[in-house]
Order: sequence, then C-alpha cells, then structure tokens
Amino acid sequence: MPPLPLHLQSSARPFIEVDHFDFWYGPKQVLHDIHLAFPENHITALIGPSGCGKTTLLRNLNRMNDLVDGIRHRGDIRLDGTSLYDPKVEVISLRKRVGMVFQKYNPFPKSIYENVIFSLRVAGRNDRRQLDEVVEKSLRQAALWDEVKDKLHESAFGLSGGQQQRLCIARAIANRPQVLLMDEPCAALDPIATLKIEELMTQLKDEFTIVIVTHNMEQARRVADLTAFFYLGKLIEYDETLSLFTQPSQIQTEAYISGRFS
Amino acid sequence: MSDAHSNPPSSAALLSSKGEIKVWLTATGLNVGLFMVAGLLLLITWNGLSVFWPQPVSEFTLTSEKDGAPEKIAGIITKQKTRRSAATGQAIEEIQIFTGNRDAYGLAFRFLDQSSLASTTLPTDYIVAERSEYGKAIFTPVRLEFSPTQSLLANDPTFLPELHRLVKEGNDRRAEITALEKHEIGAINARIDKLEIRLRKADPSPEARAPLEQELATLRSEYATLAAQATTLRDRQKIEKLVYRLASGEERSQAVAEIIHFYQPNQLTLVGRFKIFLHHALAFLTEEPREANTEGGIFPAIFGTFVMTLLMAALVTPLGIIAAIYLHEYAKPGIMLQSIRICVNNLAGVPSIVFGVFGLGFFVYGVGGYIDHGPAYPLPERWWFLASLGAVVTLILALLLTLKYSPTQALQPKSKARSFTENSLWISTALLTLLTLAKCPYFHGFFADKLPSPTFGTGGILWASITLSLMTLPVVIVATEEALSAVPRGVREAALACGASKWQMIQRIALPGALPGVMTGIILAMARGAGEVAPLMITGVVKLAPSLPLDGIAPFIHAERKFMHLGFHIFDLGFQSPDSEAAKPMVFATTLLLIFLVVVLNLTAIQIRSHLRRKLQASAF
Repeated sequence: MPPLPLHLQSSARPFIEVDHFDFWYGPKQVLHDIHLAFPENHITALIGPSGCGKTTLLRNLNRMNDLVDGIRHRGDIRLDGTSLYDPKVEVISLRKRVGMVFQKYNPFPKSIYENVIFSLRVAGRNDRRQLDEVVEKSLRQAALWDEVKDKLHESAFGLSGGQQQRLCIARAIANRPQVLLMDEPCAALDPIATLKIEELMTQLKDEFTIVIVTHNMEQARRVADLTAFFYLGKLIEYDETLSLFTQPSQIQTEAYISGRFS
Repeated sequence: MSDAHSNPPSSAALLSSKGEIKVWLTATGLNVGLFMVAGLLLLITWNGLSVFWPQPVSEFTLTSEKDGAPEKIAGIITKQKTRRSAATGQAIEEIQIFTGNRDAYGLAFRFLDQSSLASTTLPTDYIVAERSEYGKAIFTPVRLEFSPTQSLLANDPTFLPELHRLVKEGNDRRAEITALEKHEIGAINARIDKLEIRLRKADPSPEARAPLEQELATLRSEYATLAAQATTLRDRQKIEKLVYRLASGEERSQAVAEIIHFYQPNQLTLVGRFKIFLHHALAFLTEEPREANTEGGIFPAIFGTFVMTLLMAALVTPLGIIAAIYLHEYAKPGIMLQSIRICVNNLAGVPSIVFGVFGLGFFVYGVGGYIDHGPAYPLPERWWFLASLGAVVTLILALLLTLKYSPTQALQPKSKARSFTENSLWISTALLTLLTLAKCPYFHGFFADKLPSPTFGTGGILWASITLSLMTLPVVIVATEEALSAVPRGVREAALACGASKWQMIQRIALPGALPGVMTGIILAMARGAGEVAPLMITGVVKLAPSLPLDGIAPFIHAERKFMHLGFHIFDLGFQSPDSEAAKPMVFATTLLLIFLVVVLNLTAIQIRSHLRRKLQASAF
C-alpha cells in the first residue's frame, strides 16, 4: 500500500493510491515507479520542473491520457479502493467522479448556465428545477454567483479571465465529483484572480479531495497541505508542505525550492 | 534623403530595398482582377437592364423607291457600326433597327445603310405592342372593329381608353383560360390517368369494372364541359379586331385580345418610361416564357434554379458533415486516411460533365429505373433466398462480435485478426443487403403501371440535385474538417473531463463550434452548384417545362419532374434559339438574374453564418 506522509497516517484516509506506477508515451518512459497516496479532503500540490511528469500523473488520475495513441502503463492507481484500470470501470463514469480544471480556462461556446450544467446534460438530467439549483450551488461555491446571477444566459466569453476560470471550476464541481484535479489553474491569470482561486480551493477542500499541479512554489506553499516534488519522472520527495519547504530531505528538492534550477 | 548618410543610396536601390515595386506588382494584380469583375458586372447590368427600357421608335424614309413611292420603315435603333465594304473598300455607316412585326416582315431586325436614308423622323402616334404571338408589333393604329359593322377610328378621343379596356379584358380572359386549362383540366387529367391505370389493373369481371368505368365517364364529361368553356373563351378572344398600318403603308388586322401590353414610346415622359421599365422588369420575373423562350418572362427558370439549389444544399450538408466527422474524429490516421483525403480533394477537380454522365447512368437509369420497374436482372429465387439469409446471418454475427467488445477495455487494443473478422463481417453484411435489395425478384417497381413512359427513370430535379450534391460534396467535407480542427483542444478535453462520451463531445461542443466553418463550405457549394449547367443538361433540365416541381396537385412536391434552369436558359437562348439576335437582350437579362440569385443565396448563408458566429463569439484563446 502506498503510504501517506507520516504525520497524516493516523488522521486522514488515503483516497487516491498510486501504486508503483510506470507510464510510457510510445517508447519514452515518463513516469518511473511512482508510489504515493493522496489523502481525502486535503489539497496536495505536485511541483517540479517542466517535463518532470507531474501533469502526466494528474492526467492519469481521470484517464485523460487515454486520448493519446501509443500509451502504456504498469502498476495501478486506485480511487477509493477500486482500480481505475478495472475492466468494470467505465471511463465516462470515472470522469464523473473526478473533475478537472485546466491550465487555460476553456469555457464552452455556450451560455454561463449551460456551461455549468454541461456534465448533467450529458448524463441526461434535464429537470429544470434541479438544474437551477445545481447552477446556483456550483456558482456560489466557485464564488461567482454574485457576479453573474443576472446574466446566466449570456455567453460565457463575456466574462473576464479569472471569472472564466472560476466558471470552469463551477463546471467541474457541478456533478459533485469526489476528486478535483487542477492543472496549473492560475497560470493564465493575474495575481488578484489567482488569489481568488486560491481562497476558493481552501473552501472546496472540505468537500473534495484536491490535487493541483503548479509551477508556482509560493502557491503550493499557500494552499497545499501536502506537496510532492517530481524530477525527471521520479517522485523525489513527498511531505507536509511546510516541512518540505523548510527542511527538504533531498538535495534536488532543496536545489529546486531555493530556485537553483527550474 | 537624410543628411546623416554621406552617400545616399540611389532612388532605384531604395525602391527595390523597400520592396516598393513588388507592392505595386501585387496591387496591379488585384486591380486587374477588380477591373475584370467590375467590367463584367457593369456590362451585364447595363445590357440586362436596358432590355426593359422603352426606346423611341424612328421612322426612316429610304432613298430607294417601292411601288412608286419612297420606301418607309419604322423601328428602334439597336446598334450603329461602321463596316468596310468588301467590294469598294470604303467605310460604310450602318445601323441595325428592330422592326418587330415578324408576321409581316419575316425577320424582326434589319440593317440599313446610312447613305440610303433620305430622312429620319420621330412620329408621335407610333404604338409598340407586345403580342402573345409573333413578338412585338410597331405600328400606327387605324381603327378598332367591334363587329363587322361597328368600328371606332383612331383619331376619336375615346380610342385609346377603349383600346386599354379591350386589352385588359383580353388579358383577364387569357388568365381565365390558363387557369381552366392548366389547373382544372390538369387536375382532372391527373385523376383520369390514375383511373385508367386502375382500370387496366382491375380484374376483368364487369362488377369490379362498373364503378370505375362510371367514375371515368363522369370525369370525362367534366373534362368535356371544361374544354368547351375554354373553347368558348378562346373564340370570344377573336371578336374585337385592331386594324393598324405599318410604316410601309400596309394595313393589317389583329385580334385585340392577343395584345398583352402596349405603349406609345414617342409620347412617354421620363416617369412614364420608368413605369414601363418597371412593368417590363416585373413581367420578366413573374411570367412564363413565350415564343421559344425569346419573349415573356423566366419565372419557371428562376423557380427551378432556386428549388434545385436548395435541394442540393439540403442533400450535401448532412452527407458532407457526417463524412467529415468520421474522417476527422474517428478514422485512424495512416496511409488509408491519407489516400481517402487525396481522393476527396481530387473529386473536386473532376469535370462536372463527368458527374453528369455518372448521374445519368447511376441515378437516372439505375436507381430511377429500379424505382420504376424493379430490378432489370433479378436473382433466381433460390439464390435470392440464400443471399438474404446470408445478410441476416452476417449481421447477427457482426453485432455479436462488436457488442461483446465493451468500451472499458479501450486500453487493450483489439487483436488484428479480430478486427479483421469484424470488418469483413460488416462489409459482407452491407454487400449482401445491397444485393438482396437490388436483385429482389419479387419487387416490380412502384410505377410499373405507367410504363413504358418512365416516371423516375428519366431526368428530373431530384436526380439533378443529387448529382450536383455529389459534385459539391468535397467542398463541404474539406470545409467541415478544417472547421473541426479549429475547435480548440482545450474545449474538447474539458467536455470529456465533464464525463461526456466522445460522440456527446462532438455533437454538443465540436460540431456547434465548427458550424460557421461548415456554413462557409455550404456557401461555396451552393455558389458552385447554382451556376453549373453541364451536368444538369443530361440529368433533368429542359428548355421548356410544362409544370413546376412544386404545385397544388397532390403530392405537391414532384421530385421526378423535369425543370428549367437559368444557366441552361442562357445557353439555350444564346446558342440554340432560331433568332439569336432577338434573344440577345434576354441572355443578358437572364445572366444578370442568375448572378443576382447566386448573390442572394450567398448573402443569406453569410447572414446565417455571422449570426452563428455572434452566438459563439470568438473567445480569447
């Protein structure tokens, strides 16, 4: 069983377990024997230089990598005890349990309302009252309700960048997933919008298990309970955020967080 | 030149370094194109519109004599040119005049040598009259004959109002005759045809035949009554006569009711001319052609072009979109896909007449013939049973094999042998089903009773539209594929991450996002299809269609009917008509209209596209 960091082993339950996981794009191995667990209702940050495999790991958690040709894996990833690669698991129902927010905000060319309820629409839920409730709840959770409640049926492209990213978060949580994956959610945003999203994440962790990939070490320090450092496709160090940043046990970690390479 | 440089570069070097000359070159290229387009449009517009403008009538007195008096001739000047005489080599000034009165002169145009003209005048009392036969007449009126004994002279003040009244009455009666013959008698004819076919099929016992025959008899008597009515009306048309004099002095008599419309060109004010102009233009748009298409309007051709283009767009759009979705979203990249793409692109370069020949061979004779009389060479019954059994068995096997493969196993690709078996099973299912349908010995066609005259087995608007939609298919496929590639990857991934299946992602996100691009493809396809003539000539266009493809007789849409088309009309008028000089103005007017129609169709599609774009509003990607 992949371990949680020591201090959490008694207080938190491992929700996602990555068990000796190797991963190849064609002939190129991009993940080497990744072995770790993400605790329930915590925020875990994945950090590391570009090309270290953190996004690849994230995109394996909802099997988004299935879209790529020529992929191969070894080992296992378990979500709440069930393997993602179990033949009985359908990718579509898996993705309903694991929401995702992307680096570049990507609302659909539809109204704000239709954006939020997209996952319900594709699941065939069309009850108007229910949908209205979901829209309000999700937008409130994404701290966007007050800004858009009067223009729900206008195009989502009329919103600012930060608002669009929060809309994407509302969309990702509309279907009440258990896990929320965030792939550098603030990379395309200005500092104020970034701060808003970070506040939002700390509120959301009560309900969701959050895994976030970030390039911004300050951000990891501010929002994450745990941080995992990746380098060249290997997991180098995984610990409570504070101790990882203050007393890194590995020499590469120290070099990275002190900015000697990136 | 700047003083800072001690050695200022020569102006030629400066020019070339700035690339000025190349800019001029590109601008010249654009200008040449613009001039050509503008010149063509101007030429067509000017010539097309001047057809409708009422020109003055001149009376020419010639130097030559005829029957002891100077010869006179009246007409509208249509052309002036200088010709070098073949005999003397001297330049001769020549004019071409439109004399009308084809019944009297044999020809409607005449060339006159300037030197042979003694004098030219513009007498005010000339009338130009459009007639339902023999084209226009140009004359001075003499008298109206209401009956052999009662008449009204042209110098009487009530003459003109009386003529107007009679012409209007004649027009009303003509409309009545058309309504009778085309609609009422047409409907009865259709019912009689149906009854006769039923009678032919009915069993020979007199009890079965009696009610049918009785009904047929009632219909025939109704037909006779209506035909008699029409004959009475036709006879009535001939009673009032107009006697007129030509410039040559000859007096002729003409049934007033055959005059459709007349005016006195030399008395018209500018407003009056403009009114006549509008009247002519409207008649051109709304009336049916007369006199081998050289007179009257071109409404059936406008309607035919319009219906054909819309039908083609309706057929090509779903087909093109479906094909493009498979090619772009599902087909595995590789040599196969590459070669299919190349084939699709090359299809756009195949000469359109080749598509026409294919349409004639496959759709008209093949599919149309099949619909009419069933398969020409049916399978022997035993073989047919075997084939249908085979189709069912392969279908069941293919379904079993495909459905057993569940999508959760997507990570383990199917084995080669298995996918090969699956594919060949599906392909044989399709082939066997096709064979079963196409060679069924029990199917004898839907229109076998009407044979030997074909119903669908001859050119018609449906086959023409299908042929053109095949021709324009590559345009739509290429445009749709491009539009699908332009849908951002992020949006597609977001849709999948929301739990949408691939098809839901395509249907709800990718395709709506690609719609403006798809519309561009449809616009291009329509523009190409509407102006195409060659493939239509062999798949259903005719010089003169007796009825429109849509009308009030059930089943209202007659997809098997032949139709008229503006493009073919231009060809027919300009190059196939007996008097091409008379048809020339119509050629210009028809061309103008065809261009106008294409522009209108395009503008509508562009309007729809920009509406879609506004709805989707380009994001900040």
